[in-house]
Amino acid sequence: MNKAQFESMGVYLPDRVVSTQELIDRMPSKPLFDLEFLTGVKDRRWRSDVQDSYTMAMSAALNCLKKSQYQAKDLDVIICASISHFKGGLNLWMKPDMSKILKKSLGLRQNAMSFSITNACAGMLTAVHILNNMIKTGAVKNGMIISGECITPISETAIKEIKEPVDLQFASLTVGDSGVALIMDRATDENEGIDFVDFLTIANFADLCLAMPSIENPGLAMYAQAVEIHQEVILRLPKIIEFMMHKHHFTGRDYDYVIPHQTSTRAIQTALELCSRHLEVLPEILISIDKFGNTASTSHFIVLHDHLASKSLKKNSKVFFMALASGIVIGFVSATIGKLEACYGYDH
Amino acid sequence: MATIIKASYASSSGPLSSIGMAVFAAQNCLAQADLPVEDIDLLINIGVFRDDNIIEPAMAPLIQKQLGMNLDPVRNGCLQRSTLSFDINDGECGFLTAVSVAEAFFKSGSAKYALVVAGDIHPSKTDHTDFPFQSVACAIVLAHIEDAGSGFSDFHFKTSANGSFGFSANVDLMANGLKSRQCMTFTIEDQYHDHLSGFTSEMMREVFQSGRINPANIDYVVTSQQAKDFGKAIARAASLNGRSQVVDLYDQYGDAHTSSLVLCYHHLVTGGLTKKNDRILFIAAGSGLSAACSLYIV
Repeated sequence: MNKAQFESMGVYLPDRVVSTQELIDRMPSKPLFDLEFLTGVKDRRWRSDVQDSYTMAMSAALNCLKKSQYQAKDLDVIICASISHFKGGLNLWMKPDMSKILKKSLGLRQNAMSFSITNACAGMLTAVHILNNMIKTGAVKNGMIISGECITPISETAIKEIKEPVDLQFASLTVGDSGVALIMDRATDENEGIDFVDFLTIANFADLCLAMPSIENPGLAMYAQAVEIHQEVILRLPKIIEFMMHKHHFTGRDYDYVIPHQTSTRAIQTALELCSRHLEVLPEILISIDKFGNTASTSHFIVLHDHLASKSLKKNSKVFFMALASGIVIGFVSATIGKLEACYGYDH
Repeated sequence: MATIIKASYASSSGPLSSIGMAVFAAQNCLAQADLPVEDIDLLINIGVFRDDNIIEPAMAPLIQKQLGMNLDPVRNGCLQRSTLSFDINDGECGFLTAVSVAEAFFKSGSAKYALVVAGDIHPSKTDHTDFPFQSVACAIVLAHIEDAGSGFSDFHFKTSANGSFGFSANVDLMANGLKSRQCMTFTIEDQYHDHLSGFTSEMMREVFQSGRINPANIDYVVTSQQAKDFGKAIARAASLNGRSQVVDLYDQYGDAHTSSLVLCYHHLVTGGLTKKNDRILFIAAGSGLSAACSLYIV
């Protein structure tokens, strides 16, 4: 069986920086707590009026292709993995799915596969799971995973609609816009690439976070029972980590870094500290939530980009990606990312 | 090793809910498969149009919840048995995409059984007159066997190169305002069905010319059901002139959108029309323009 690797990555972040304080200042009904202190989110990127899921995905894909050895016509599959699929403003595209539009714009071969998947904030890592299996089994040689997350519309709605000190829309104030494209192909070096991917959906809590059009104001809203989700996750995560360690034969010592989904600094630290007893050693936790907020399905790769771009990572880093998403989806990707470091100019 | 259909179910009855329809079909399908719900490792929803235009979470976990499928493996003390669920949106081609994804999970050892479900409905959860599809609930259980002489093979996918999609569906949240949970705008280009039929038959001709599928050996052809005789037009244009019979259920069900292929397959099976080693050609076609095909040996 083949082994798959991350070959290249391109990111798009809108220029406009919006602080948590700016959002709070716009709220008619202000929170009683310090949102920035509680979540660790200081700033997030904010799309312009002409940007949407499609444009941010396209910009990320073009950046990715510049760094890749592949051209669009070389790709066997494109998988769009965003939660948001806005094109032409707040226009939710259902059909054809966004991958078809991106495929045509990027110039992939007509006979390349293209499809969208959604799995909330675990979308890109679920697509990694899918593409990893497709490359391992020889169904495709390579492919692009792409996500343009235009999600600050939920912040706009939350600013207008939050009325209570405890409100289901507070988590909507922590998100930011972004685009990420990732090319995967077959690894040629056994020390590089993806070692394992494993996911499960704890569907008992599937309805703790729902996003849909608002019925109070035009636009999109997210209703999240963030505290309940966190409680249910931290009750279960240590057992899941322990199970995965036995199944896939690893400890925390095997990794240079862990990249969790970027919900809040405190939530991340609490959850991982509870797992540290099992992991023996807790790898360095990579967090960029202060600068970019929670960027949904792109979050792990926005963090990775931030640290790759600052050249702060060890060479041939081994990274433990942890997905946590509405569903509740919990998933893990174990990968050595030397190729991505090379495409960010690391000298190997 | 091959991916086979262990059981199928399709019905135009069922609740007026995309989640409810998928659950209804899945329960019937699992009963047909004589498979406990806990055995499903992978749950893929291929339905596109959903209750209230929900975009998070995926529909699949909400379906998984109602099915009571491995809801809490930690609390149950059984992490060996868990399910991963997610949605695939590939319109009419979603079923064949889901089969190819499931096959990659089977071959890599990530899953043993996959359940694929669909239940498209207008987001208002009503029989809305604007909805250009018929709501048909479907479910299919896929499994993996060692016998390479049966199952799915030769997947092909194609999307047109030009900027035309033929058919599009979207909801502008600002234009539709507070009604956006109940709205969907459908745009159908002139001669969509003719263009789609031509595009799909061109793909089939390419597949036949490549020699990977022999058109002379096909027993049944199941296709998307955009219009009456849609599949027959593709078969004719692709010179699929052998002994094959094209399944056409448009008069009974209309266009069942993402459920069409499973509906047609289920019709063959429940009608007792198939026997071991029969060759069924699955052909999907839809907006994009997009088309897909795969050969299935019973």
